[in-house]
Amino acid sequence: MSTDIERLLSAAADDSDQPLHTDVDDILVRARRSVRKSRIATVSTAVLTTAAIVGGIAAWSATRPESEGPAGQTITIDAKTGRIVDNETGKTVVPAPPASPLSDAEVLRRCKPYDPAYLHGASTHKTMDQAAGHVDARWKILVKSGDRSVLNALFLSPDKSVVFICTMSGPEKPQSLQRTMTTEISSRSRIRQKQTVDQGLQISAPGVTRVLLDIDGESNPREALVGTDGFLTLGNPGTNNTLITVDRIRGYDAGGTKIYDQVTKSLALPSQPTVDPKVTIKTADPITPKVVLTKDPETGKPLAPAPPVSPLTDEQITTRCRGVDDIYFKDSADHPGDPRVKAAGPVTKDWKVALKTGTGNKLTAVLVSPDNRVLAWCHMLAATANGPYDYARGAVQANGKFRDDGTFAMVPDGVAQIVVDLPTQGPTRALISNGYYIWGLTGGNSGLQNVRVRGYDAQGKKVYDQLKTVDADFD
Amino acid sequence: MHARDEAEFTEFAATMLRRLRRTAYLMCGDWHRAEDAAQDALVKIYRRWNRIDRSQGLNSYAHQCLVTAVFDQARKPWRRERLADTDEPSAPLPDHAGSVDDRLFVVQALAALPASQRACVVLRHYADLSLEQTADILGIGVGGVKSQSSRGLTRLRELLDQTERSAR
Repeated sequence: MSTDIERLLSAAADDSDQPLHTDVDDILVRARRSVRKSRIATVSTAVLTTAAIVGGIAAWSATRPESEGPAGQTITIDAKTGRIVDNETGKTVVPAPPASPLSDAEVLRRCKPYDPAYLHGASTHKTMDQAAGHVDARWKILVKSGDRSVLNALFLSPDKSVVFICTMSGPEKPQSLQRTMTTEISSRSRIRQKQTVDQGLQISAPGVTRVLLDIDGESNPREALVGTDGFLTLGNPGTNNTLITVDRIRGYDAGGTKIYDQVTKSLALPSQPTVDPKVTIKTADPITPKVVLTKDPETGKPLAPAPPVSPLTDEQITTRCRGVDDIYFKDSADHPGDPRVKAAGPVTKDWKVALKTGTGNKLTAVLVSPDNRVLAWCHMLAATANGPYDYARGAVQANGKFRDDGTFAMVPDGVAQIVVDLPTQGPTRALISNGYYIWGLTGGNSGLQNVRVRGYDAQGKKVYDQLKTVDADFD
Repeated sequence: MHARDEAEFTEFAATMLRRLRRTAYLMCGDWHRAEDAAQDALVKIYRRWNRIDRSQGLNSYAHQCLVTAVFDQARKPWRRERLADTDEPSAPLPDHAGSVDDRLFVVQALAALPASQRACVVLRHYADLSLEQTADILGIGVGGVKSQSSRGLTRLRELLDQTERSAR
């Protein structure tokens, strides 16, 4: 009946003349990073946060020599045209995009109206919204390129945490609007990653006035337009939306001498920080509440109950978790990790069940190794390892703590009861057990939300108030 | 994710990437956005890989993630998207055989359908999903899929007929 339509649809979707700009490796890198963002605490041996990765690479970057080429390499600046010749490679340089002739006020006037609409649509960037607020005159214009019509401008938020990238194809024609964490932009100068042409870069090199970018797949270097605070742009990409990967960044002073040279590196895990093997987990001293909160002290709303303690015995739990623990060990056998994680040995009934929640076969538990140095996070939705599960191990940090990972956390000192403002069910009591707390049967890292976590002492007085990322997906 | 699971996912992603991109293209009419949507969908699947029943319904789940990604993009219409009224639309080079033009007519006609009709037509008649799968993906009843598909097909034929007539 509709084979004619099916044939037309099939022909319309023919992509033989549309090469992919993404490969599976790109997706894996992005996917791994998105998971890592939420799983740092328990999997410190296997998984690191983006921040940790960036930090590690920053540390690596700081220790490596910036200049890779012979000293004194220069560019020649043509006095008539202002164009530069790359003396190192002899290649012709693609000129920088023109600096915009528009005043900062005009740039702001053109871009500002589209920021609220962008924020409205970009619901995934609530952290950035809260941190930076709407674009206004307090935002600093870092670099602007274009002509009287076309525009590409980068704005820095007053708290310097967020960069707003505004690309317009005409005075009232928004082409691409994005917000990015400042750290993300600066990481692009060190880490090989795909980006759009107009997203910008930041280098840390005072005195750099001209910058050349070697771009993967392009035979000639491109000159970037240099703005303030080391921010750069390649300008408005026009109709070309091809993603680019920067291979190398060279910076030159006003005299044309190279003073910065950075080859971008593929994302790689930095070496593990060394932690004294004697360090053990230090949980907060348990405090029994004298005044038990039943209502939110701030709003008077009844508190949703804490997630239930699992009816499974500790031995049942260690037996079940042993199943996924065996798989974890088998799969990680070839990966060098924190030696403390392996030294703790497989999960046995000697492991302490520090926290357990769930109903029926659904289970979330935190297990502590007999040597009190390793945690295992065990989240199972079936009785055996054949069902869905989320499992990871991690060794304690130097301070005796584990970082919050969005799935559970350690109780802060002096706190007897905890209220988590969950997005759907409102203020909710957290389940506290042996120095750890949890707000639901969390697992899978798919419902991450920024919420307030409040801690109260035994008398019901608030002693802790933090905005945290928690996994609000309880299935 | 465990190495074995990751290998399975890699194989799945390699198989599905182009397919999802093509489906997304029919829904949004832009290859770049389609690729973004396919990528978003696969990242989401990766994050849930250990929790979804891979023995059945994986194709359907992948399309559900894809549809969500396409709809999410539509809610932020100027992210990496050239607006329709721009002076310099990104159009392919003309081809003498006319096949590219024909393909564009179809995509333009699809774009003229309401989003729900377009989704039903694409999922049923391009992605080859069942009524039940399509209903599940779109969160509507089977009856709704039938009626939306029927209206969508009728309208699509009208639009394509008009295009054909005007081209003569």
